Amino acid sequence: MVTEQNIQKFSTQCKNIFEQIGRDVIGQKEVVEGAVIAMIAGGNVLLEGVPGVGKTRLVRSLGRVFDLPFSRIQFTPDLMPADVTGTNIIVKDENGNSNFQFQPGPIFSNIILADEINRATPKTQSALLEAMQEHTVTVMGVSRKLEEPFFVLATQNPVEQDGTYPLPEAQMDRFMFKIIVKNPSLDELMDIVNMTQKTMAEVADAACNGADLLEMRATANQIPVAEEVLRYAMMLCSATHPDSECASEAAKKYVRLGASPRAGQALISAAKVKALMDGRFNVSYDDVNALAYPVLRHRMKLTFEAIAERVSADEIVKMIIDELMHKNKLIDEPAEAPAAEQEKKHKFGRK
Amino acid sequence: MEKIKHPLFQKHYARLVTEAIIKSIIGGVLIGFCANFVAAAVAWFFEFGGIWLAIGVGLVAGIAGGVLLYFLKYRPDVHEVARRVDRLGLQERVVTMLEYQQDDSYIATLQRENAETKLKSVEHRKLRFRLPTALIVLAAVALVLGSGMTTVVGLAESEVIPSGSDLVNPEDPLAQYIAVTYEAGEGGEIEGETDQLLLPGEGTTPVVAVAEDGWMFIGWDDGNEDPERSESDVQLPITYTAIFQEVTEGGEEGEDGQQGGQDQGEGDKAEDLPEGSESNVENGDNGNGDKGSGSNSDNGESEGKGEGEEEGEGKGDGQGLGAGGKWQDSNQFIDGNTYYRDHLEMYYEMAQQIFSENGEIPPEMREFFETYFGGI
Repeated sequence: MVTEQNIQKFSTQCKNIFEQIGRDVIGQKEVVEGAVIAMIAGGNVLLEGVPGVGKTRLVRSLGRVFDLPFSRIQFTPDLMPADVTGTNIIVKDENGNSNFQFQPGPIFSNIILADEINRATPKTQSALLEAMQEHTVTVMGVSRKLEEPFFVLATQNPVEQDGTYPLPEAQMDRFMFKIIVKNPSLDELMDIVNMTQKTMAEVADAACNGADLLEMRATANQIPVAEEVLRYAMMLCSATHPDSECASEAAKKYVRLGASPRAGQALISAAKVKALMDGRFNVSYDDVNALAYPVLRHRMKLTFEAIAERVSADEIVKMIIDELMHKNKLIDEPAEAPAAEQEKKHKFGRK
Repeated sequence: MEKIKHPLFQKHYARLVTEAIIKSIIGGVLIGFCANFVAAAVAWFFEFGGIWLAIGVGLVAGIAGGVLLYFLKYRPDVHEVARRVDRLGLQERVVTMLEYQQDDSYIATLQRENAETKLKSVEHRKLRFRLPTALIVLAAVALVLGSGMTTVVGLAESEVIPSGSDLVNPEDPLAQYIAVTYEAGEGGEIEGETDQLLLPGEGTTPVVAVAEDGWMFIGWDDGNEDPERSESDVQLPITYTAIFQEVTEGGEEGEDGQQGGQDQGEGDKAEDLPEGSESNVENGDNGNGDKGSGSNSDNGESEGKGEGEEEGEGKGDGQGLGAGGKWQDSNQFIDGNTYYRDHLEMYYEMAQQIFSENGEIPPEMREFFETYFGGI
């Protein structure tokens, strides 16, 4: 049961979280907001960006701010699943008898930074599947539950593709958001350089702990969603399927495989958090539309035509949104939407 | 319909009702003028009903259509109002508020309070009318078509323009005419237009029954004995048949003689002429059966056959009209008298001869010319 105290606490903690992350990460507001929304909503995040734009720093900062145990796994081609999940090792007890004892891998933490995840082989990548979805790890037939909250924050470099293994659809689908980390602007770059001249160390303090995070998630889950907004969000997901009954024209042309039901779940969960972060107690179409980009962009398998025409996933999502908004007559009254509301339409690093 | 309970909604609702009424009126205009067009088209093509029926049908259909459109399509319900208000920047607060209005949880209460606060800040006048352009265009087209077709019906009713059926199936132009037919029985023929088409009340052009050689005209089948006839004020189609009788020797002589006497009149006229008419003059003087020749002569000028002269007891008085003479195109039949062009030409040459010798034409010739040209 949500109380007034929960709401106030949510608001206060959100403010603190952004404030503390802002001490370590210059700019990238949309990226930070996306990552925080995903963490509150309980989702995993894939950060994609060229080297040096602050992906790893952001993840480390998040770990500090949420005051949660943090593990970093540098994915390499020779990394094995056991290196991630842990394995049974033989130990001798006091009597000199040898026994198998489970040695937990780095995945047994609350926040996992899977750095350059696409450099590991698919076998190793798959070691994360169970952990990301069920929050359990099974080794030698024994399932072990991971401690909540549990997040995987993975990074990948979209440029250097040699020696990499693109994440399979099943793996991609387990990331709630795929956030594009862009290069900082000139002003941000100046601030970054100025800051790092003083110290490279992360200075963010903890703004909340794991329990607080779970409480925030529970609070956000209570946010009401009008049926028609929920229907719209599901239509948005279904519209990415070229063979569904509500397939959009863009999907028919450019999408080979659409978003899974996980996309719908992620969209609504994240939209609730976003609404509450914006001080609203209901989910709006704008929330759904803004989050459609990070939720859907990695869940669509594009056609050769889209690749040949260099149509990005974000452009396809935009086409689908425009089509649905017009179809459902959800266009704002001209010049009626308050400017303040317009400014809040975040794009989450849309290309 | 769910009642608009929330007081903050009333003005927005009223505004959307106004919008719905406007849309219904436009829809009613579209339906009404479409029906009006169809009714007017039917009235024009089938000459059924007329302009007032077309207008009436349009009015009834328009009003009924408008009312139906309002209640079945355009009348706003509470969710429609909420959706429209939310589009003013309220970000689905009102829709959610309505959906969770029975929810007593803290978050739902908080949401309602938040929605109401925002709703107060939204002027109902900001809710702009959304009138579908396609509907307006269609209504305008229907208006033009309907009123145009109604005008066409009005003009057709006033007989300014033909009706549609007249255009598609025009009347036989001859249907309104009345046929008057003149037929000749055995032994003769009809000179003039035998088949005449007249409008009711019109008269025919004259025709003349002309007997062949050896035949004589007795009369028409309607009792008219005048060989020349014309009808006036014709109202019904009719056929007149001229009856002829063969002229036989003996018992028929008397009649022949009498007829000959009539024809002799021509002879009388020729009698006074200077030349080339001797036989007629003589026959005329005789007043007897020369008739036979006279009756069949072309123009009284021809010579008699002499048979009748010997055997008939002609009773002719020399006043015959010469109607029994053979008709030729060169002849003129004027005021019941026959004038002969060949005589004219002959007399004309004679007159020229006389004038060339500085002479003076005889009064009879002068009278002939005057009569002839005066008649023409």
